[in-house]
Amino acid sequence: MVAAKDGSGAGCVKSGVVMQLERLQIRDFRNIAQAGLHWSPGWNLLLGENGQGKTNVLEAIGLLASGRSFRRATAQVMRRQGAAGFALQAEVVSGGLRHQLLFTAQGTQQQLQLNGKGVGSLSAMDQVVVAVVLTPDGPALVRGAPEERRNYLDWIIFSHQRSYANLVREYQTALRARNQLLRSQCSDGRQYEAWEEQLVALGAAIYQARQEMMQQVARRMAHFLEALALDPDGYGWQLAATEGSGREAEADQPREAYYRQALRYHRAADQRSGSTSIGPHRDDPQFWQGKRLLARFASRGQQKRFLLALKLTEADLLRERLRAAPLLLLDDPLTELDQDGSSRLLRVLSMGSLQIFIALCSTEGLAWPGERPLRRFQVQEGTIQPIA
Amino acid sequence: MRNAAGFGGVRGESAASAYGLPSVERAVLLLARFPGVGRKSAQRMVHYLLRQGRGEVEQLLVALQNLAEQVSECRICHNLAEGEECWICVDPRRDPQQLCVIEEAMDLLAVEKAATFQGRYHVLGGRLNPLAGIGPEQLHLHSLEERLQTGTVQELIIATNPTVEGEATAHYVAQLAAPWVERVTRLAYGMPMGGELEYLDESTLYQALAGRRPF
Ligand SMILES: [Zn+2]
Repeated sequence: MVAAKDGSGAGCVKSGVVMQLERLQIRDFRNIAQAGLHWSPGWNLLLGENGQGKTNVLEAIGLLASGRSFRRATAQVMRRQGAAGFALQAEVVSGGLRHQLLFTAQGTQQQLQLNGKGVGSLSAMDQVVVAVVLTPDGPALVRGAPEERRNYLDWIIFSHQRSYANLVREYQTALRARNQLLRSQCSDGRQYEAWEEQLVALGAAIYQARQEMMQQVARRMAHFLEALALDPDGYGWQLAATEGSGREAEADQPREAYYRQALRYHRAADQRSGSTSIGPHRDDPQFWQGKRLLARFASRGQQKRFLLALKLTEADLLRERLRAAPLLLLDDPLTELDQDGSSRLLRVLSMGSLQIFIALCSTEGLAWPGERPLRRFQVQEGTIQPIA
Repeated sequence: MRNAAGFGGVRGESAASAYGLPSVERAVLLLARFPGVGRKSAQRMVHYLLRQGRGEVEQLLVALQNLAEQVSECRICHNLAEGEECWICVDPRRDPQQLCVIEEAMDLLAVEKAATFQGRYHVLGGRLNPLAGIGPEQLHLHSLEERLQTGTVQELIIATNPTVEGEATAHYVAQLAAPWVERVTRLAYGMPMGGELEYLDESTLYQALAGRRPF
């Protein structure tokens, strides 16, 4: 009780627990034969021409943080040409403790170790290191297929609620089962109903989780939109009306009832197409500028600012849940931004307590605001050298 | 250049048959097909039997033969049975008004171990899975419907597994039973008694939380 009133205690919580990558050793990863890197707790700039290996460094950090490649590459693709496998070893300070992380890949086998012990599930990693990533193909999130946005939204939900993965997996199982009935021209209504009821219950739970996350993100985003000179009230994240599905949900109809009705109603048409046309697997969580699609009506520069605000919000939500700031990995973040956009981004980044890793071709004309420590690295043909 | 095919062929043969023990090898291969038994354990079992000598092997032989000849499916509930009907179906103390539907005979043993259920069973022999070609025709649903049509069963307890296939099967069974049975119930799922919260997997805890009830 006394401790709770103590000023220094409260201040500690407010400033957030540090999550910091201190050292990283790379062996036989992509075009990097060997590297030993000592990182700054603030800015880390990876500089060099394209194709030299900047993104590979970010990918390595992302792999340690999430257990997967943000380029969706397999272990065999990521190992250096001619090598049997690769190894990434990191020292992370998190929650006042120092942790050893080791990611190894040998052939098709890969393993993540935390302080010498194998890590079975990703949730064990939450307390140690988490990263938010922006890649150059980030704009595909705004302009690409609905699947990109669904996957991204599901990933955010999953990073907040690990059991969400089971929900999605079970939904996929029920979906495949119904599709199989459709394709085999099954005419047994009771069988359809048995599987559709699973789609109804699981689908409604997924819908609910997605609605809540989109609303939460949209609310939190205002601050970052403003910092990047976008109207904080003008943007949103909402499901686009599914085109041509014929039967829309009524305003206050419970989702379960809607799915139940719609699945039954579309059975015959679905049988002709051989796939299920209704449900969260067909939803498009779209980004909006007022009532218009961001992808269609906003300029590239506006889209890019929006995307950056989205990523910063993602990091902010994670910080709240983990009570520690995640690492921020930005690959070429200034493309499609004008001078004003770039300096605004750097300013908003300098205000947080995130440890930031940025890959850039050059820093020409860029001012690094704030007093946070900064370290530069030159990346050339797979070798990484600190710049004094 | 080495002859890769020939080299691999010799190495691919197991040590036992390479050294001229085809009988040992055959037994190892058969035992290694058992669930949860790998090649190493299979080898250990075979060597155990060889050490024990003829008597032990013959005893096992008889046991296996009896298994094959005498154990079949109960004609009423599809449980394992020695004879036409299983030990539960012939037991007059079991309440015919309560019927518990399960996927496999193994599940019956699990429910029996809990020892509180005094009714009877119906074993489906699997669960719906269209992708594996398992529809209602592949399960013991006709015989279930026939049992229900007699009007004896007052409560049908559906105890299929809490997987999505198990849930779909439960829903199908519930629909099938609705015209004939007063009360259709589903096993509650959630936290196991005696389990500690911190050791529960996230999905169990999530379901338990979603299915919470007033105290
Ligand atoms: Zn029986």
